[in-house]
Amino acid sequence: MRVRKQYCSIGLRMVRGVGCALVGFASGFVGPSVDMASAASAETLVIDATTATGWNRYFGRPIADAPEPVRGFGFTTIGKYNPDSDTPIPLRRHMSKDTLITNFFDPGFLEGFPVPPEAIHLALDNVPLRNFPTNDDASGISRRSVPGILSAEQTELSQAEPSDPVTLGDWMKARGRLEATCDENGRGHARIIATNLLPNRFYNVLEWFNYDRPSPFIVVPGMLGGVPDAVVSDENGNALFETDMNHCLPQSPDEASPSVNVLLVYHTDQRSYGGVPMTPLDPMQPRYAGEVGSVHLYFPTTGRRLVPAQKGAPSCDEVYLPDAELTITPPISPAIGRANFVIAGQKTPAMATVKFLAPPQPLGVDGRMSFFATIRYDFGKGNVLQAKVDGTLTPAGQPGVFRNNGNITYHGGSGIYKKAFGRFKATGTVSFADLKVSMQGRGMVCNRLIGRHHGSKHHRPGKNVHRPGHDHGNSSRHGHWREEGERVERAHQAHVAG
Amino acid sequence: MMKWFKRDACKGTSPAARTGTGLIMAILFAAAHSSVAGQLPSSNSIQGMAVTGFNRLLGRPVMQLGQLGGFGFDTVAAFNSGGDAPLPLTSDSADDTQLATLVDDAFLDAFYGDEPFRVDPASINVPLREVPTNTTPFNGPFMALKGAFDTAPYQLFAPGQTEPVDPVTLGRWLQARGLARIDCEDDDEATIDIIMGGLIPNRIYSVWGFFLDPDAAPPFKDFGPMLPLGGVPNLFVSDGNGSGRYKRVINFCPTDLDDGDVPMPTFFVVYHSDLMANGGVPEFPERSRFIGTGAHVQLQFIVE
Repeated sequence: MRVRKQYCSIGLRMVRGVGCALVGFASGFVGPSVDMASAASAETLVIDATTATGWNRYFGRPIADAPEPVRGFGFTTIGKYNPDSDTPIPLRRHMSKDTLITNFFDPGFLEGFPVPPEAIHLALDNVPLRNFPTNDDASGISRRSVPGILSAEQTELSQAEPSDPVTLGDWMKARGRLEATCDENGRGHARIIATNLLPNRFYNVLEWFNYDRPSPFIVVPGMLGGVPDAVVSDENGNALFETDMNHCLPQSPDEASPSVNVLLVYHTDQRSYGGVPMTPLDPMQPRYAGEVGSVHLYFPTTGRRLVPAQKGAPSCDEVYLPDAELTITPPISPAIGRANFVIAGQKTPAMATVKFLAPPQPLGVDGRMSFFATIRYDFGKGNVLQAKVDGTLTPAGQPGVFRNNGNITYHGGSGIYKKAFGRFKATGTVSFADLKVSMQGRGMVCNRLIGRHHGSKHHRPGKNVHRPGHDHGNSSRHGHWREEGERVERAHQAHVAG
Repeated sequence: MMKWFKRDACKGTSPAARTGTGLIMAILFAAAHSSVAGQLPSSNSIQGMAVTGFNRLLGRPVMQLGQLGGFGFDTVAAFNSGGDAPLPLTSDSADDTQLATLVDDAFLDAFYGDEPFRVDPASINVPLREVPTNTTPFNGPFMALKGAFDTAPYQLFAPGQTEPVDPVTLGRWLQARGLARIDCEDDDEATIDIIMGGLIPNRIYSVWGFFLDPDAAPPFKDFGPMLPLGGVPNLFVSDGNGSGRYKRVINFCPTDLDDGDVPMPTFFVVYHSDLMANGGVPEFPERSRFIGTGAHVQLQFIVE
């Protein structure tokens, strides 16, 4: 078995069963190399996000001190709307939650990305995020602001609701967690769980690297897992992004082109640009960081963390269904029965009710049929989880008996599942001959409200996971880290000036 | 037309499988005529069908579009390894036919009339997994991407393509399925909720309504009647299992139009082989990016 060197980088530490967890305030530099090969599958790297106002920026100061040459480099990507000028006002921590925020082009961007001044044709700045224009014709150049669909004429180009102005309070509510694992072949798997994003909006998931070859850029962008690296938040602002990667996280600073961070970037123009986050050097339609892309969640993957993750990062719990037996109400729906879930290691039985949303339809392949259904899992005490299913029924060799494959998407409910989301893959059999359904499967449910609602008292989500955003120290550390951030920023400015 | 579609949908079905299917169809028939019929399809649920173009399935119209009749255009074709031009898909095309890009003249005629458009020959007859995407801050040149697992961990301006990257075949394409539920609050507001499966995993999709004013006639410059359904971003990303969900509020009730409303006879789910999203339009023909070279209709829902 190939031995792959792994490091817990600055600010990360190895946690048994968890991997390198971001300690947030923990000091210390690169830890000892750890041979993860023997237990790679058991290790999970957990990094909670700092809700950002820019690339490595939290109200103007660095979120992390990354390895050279990046250090405290960064730039702001949102600002306060300035009604009296074309230039937005820099955000400050004390500003009201009601502050209307806009896109923000920070000249600091140019310090890391030396775009020729003559190439700068910044078209738009100080535009409230919901007002930012989108492309509206075949040229790829013309663009315009569009109203929310409930304010628009029926056949007018519009934007999805909600379309009300985005305030600083809205923006800073976002929370996120990055979980990464590594297999024995050196391939990684990343999952980002995010809540309170701007609902129904388009995000990219970027990974930035410290390029190990001569480059005019201080860091270079990659798309986490490949292209496309996109995710769309749902109507509640939740998002679940999963991808396979050709490398593992974290990476040691002495690996070729090590990862610096992972970002969730909101696209004000509702567009994506393929293998790059945007196109600042496009002679026809230059698009800049801070103009069309605003960093919302920031996951430092190397370096010393200077700004902690906010509390309340969402987590997912593993859902295992060893067996479920349901009885079909003639002729075909609903099917009702007991599902013996194991959630986060705890037996959690539920009464399941499956209803077809439409008659199964032939797929034209070996007698297979597709079906769509809703599922209601009632765990008791008011805890109900809702789900939707797209599935297939494949003839099992006996008349009326089918093998069932279902992709299940959780979407809220009540009690501790009020804000839950997640995925589950089920298999089993459906027999219309004796009106029985059996199911097994695995998946995950995210954002259970354990501890805030009635229900299970035995489990805390992610109880075996170090809570990276939690400040284990005393409050005086805040002052320390603020000073440290300012120090790094001053050093960086001196570096740039020199 | 519908008879033809059903015949094709059962292509390749084994006798044994047909027996099983026959039983459940008999059950469903009984259900549809029983007191529990209300538990099954409601009038506001619409089954989507896999298509190979805008109102096209294997070269044939899917529905009549008012005054436009059987108007439509292909957005995928059969890869032609021995020539420059792709081959049309027909009901005789094999399931393992690899799908490729094309620009259907019917698209250009309908949306741009006599306007001269240059279609880059290199953008035609490209297998869907090999469609180039932008990889530079200059917005070009575009290049085809290898799979992420075939790419070194970091390659400046040459990223990998999200796995899986196996060729897209006709059989795989036609596995797409969807169910839309439309709930009307009133004449001016409704919710549309689409569940989909069998899509190409981990890829960007967009959803478009086709609004057909009774007086409208081609050409429909700048995509005319095609609008992002529910507003921008009209996007979703299929998951690793090929499932997807799209839920939006819209400003009319498609199944119960108000006076003055423009009918939306159909809506579409579009796969983006160029791995990009383009705001309020599906593609940028004036930049030599067409529906058919970077965006391809995979599901069609008939409202009427």
